[in-house]
Amino acid sequence: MDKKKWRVLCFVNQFFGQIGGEEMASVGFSVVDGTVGPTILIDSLLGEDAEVVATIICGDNYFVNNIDMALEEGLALVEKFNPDLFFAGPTFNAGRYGISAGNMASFVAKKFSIPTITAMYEENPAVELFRKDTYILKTAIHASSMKPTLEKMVNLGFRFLKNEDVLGADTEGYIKGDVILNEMQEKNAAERAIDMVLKKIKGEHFVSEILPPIFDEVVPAPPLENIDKSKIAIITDGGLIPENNPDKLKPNGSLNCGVYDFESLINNKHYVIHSGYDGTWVLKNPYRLLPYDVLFDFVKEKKIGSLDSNIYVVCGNCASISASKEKGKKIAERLLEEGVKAAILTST
Amino acid sequence: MKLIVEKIKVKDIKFENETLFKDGVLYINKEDILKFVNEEKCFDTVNINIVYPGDSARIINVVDVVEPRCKIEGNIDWPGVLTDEYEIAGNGVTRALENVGIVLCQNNTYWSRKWGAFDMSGPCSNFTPYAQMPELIIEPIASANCDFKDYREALRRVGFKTSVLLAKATLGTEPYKKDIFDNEKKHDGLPNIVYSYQIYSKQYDTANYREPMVYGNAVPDSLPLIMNPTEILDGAISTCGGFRSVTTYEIQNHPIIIDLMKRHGKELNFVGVIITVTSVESKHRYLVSKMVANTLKEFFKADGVIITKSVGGASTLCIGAIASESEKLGIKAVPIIQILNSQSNLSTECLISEQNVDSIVQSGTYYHNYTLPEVENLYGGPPDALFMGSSDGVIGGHKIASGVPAKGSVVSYSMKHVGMMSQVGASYDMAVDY
Repeated sequence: MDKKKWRVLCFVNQFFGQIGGEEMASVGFSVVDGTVGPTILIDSLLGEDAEVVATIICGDNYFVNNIDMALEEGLALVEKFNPDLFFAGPTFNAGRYGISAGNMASFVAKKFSIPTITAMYEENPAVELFRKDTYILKTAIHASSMKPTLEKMVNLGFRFLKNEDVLGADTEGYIKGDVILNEMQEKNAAERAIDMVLKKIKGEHFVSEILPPIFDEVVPAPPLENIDKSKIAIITDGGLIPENNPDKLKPNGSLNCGVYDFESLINNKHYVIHSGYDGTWVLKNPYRLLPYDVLFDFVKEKKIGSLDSNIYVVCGNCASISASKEKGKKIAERLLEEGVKAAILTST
Repeated sequence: MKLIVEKIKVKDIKFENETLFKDGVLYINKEDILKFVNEEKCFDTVNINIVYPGDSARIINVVDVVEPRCKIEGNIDWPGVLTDEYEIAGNGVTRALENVGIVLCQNNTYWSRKWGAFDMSGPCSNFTPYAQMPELIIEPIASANCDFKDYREALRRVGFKTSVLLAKATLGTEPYKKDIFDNEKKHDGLPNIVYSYQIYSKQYDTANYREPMVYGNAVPDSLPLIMNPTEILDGAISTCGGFRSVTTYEIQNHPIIIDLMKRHGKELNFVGVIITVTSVESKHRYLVSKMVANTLKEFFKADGVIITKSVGGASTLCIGAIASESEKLGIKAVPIIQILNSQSNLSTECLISEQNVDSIVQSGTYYHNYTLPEVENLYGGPPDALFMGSSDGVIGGHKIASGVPAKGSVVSYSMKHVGMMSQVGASYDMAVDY
């Protein structure tokens, strides 16, 4: 019986698809059966076990001027070929090409659940948009490094096809996709630590396995001018939520936030999802986490203008800085909508 | 202090009518263990089983694994846990049985979120030492009105009594080797190294229960304590029902203490251990970190310190503060931490924020997931028991999520899979960006 030949589909722009340069950037989708330009080399690198079944081409401007429409067209073409593996680019430092190839690679992976690989220069703006959704191999800035880049793409592609281990970003040369996984080391952590302290004492070179982060400098907002006329809100990372957990918060490493009416939260079934502290005392008296009682008195005494009836809840346990920033942005936008002038953050 | 640990290799373990050791095989009489169980008020009955490497077996609700050991001379067994009178541990001769473990499970209880679990076969079995040796599983069933504090301590007593019983059964046999732990003599010209060992955090001990970990005593807000390394190897410290990626087995075979002892006199002087706990108030943390650093400098004349943690984020902050204060006094500090996220990257995931701490070992992310297949036999819980994934859990007695049937295919993760991740440095993983 013939061994199945894996089907590889490629995506390139009008320039690498040999339609033309900038003057042809508005050209729409077309398909070449088999190979053209760089995909000829891809096909020859694939050897006997796989072949480039087709190359999809799209002009840079055509794609970026209406991304949704272009994606729909592009994905419909991909579906026809039923590929096992999808390559887009490499795009090097080309901005628009980065956007089209990054979109294609990301959405083909999502829609068809097949491995997709692209390659870009690290500072290509498209990298930040797509690094979590597809494998982006690092390239040099110019297309002169085409051959070694294609070799890397084919090598990684085969590993996916053959179900072989794909290791971390630095080892494999792709751009971090914000996934952290464990890899076995030759020595256990105890031995590594003792080696490291001895090297440090002797002044020898060592590599720290992680380093303290460099934090952003945040400029504080100016002080409130009239707090007695301002609306105040409470934000907490204590994870007090309604029992049905409508925003799908998690006990640790949570990525979402919730906005809940204080009265209805407290008067209905609720619990503490945060698994970094014992929620008993908060459940006994929620004011321990959300000092609504004191603030309410402040309203009566006209020390503050009013109190937002919503509370803004995240679960701070094992929260990553990047996820916290996202949550912070969402909450800040909502606070602006609600006309809130200041917020008190309570933590556990 | 000088400790000799005699090692006996166990080829196999089997149930028999008498507990004895013959031709490398350890025969265990269940009745002997049942006797220990009956001495405790809070147990109705007990399940006792043996599992072997390669078995299609999953053990859940694991709170501890213990290596069978007994004292031969110079001291008493598990002072403060099995006895009311005290001797300081870490002297004399101890017998240890290699290649066998005692697994203690809280059967069908919802008292701790931090249950461990492990499989005797399948994708993770190569990564945990406990799947590579036969295990005697003890899982008492609680009586109706049993208090969880009593249960935990009773379970530990049964486990430790069994540990002594099994080790004593080998007394007629010559050990195949003797490990000598002796750091009394200091050698000129070698750097002085201290191990700063954070053993405990009260974050998860609900209802004001404080796990009695030091000679059977609780140390909830302790200031730093100084200990001899051999004390720790010989029963001064043991966990009690709150599994969090350290077992008593790992403490008995403490990888940092043993490696520092091995290198003592050759590459370094191992001058001592400082015990700390996680501070839950920052004021306490400031004091502990400064006290440790000062003790290292003035008392131990330390050149370097290895620092390990006990639970999660708060614990990391504490050892970061110790490392930072030590570095300020010119002492090179290497903390061992874990990564508490998996959807992120390492450039933002170090919870130590002091920039002068620039030599850190990390032993992996808690949340590297593993899909485990359905198993034939389930231990540690009833047949319909649930398996808690990383997003499930129970804390403070509040059940907060469901879990999936434990006998079926489940998703486990590094922190939960007993033996895969060790807070005291026994495991081999390191976290990497993908």
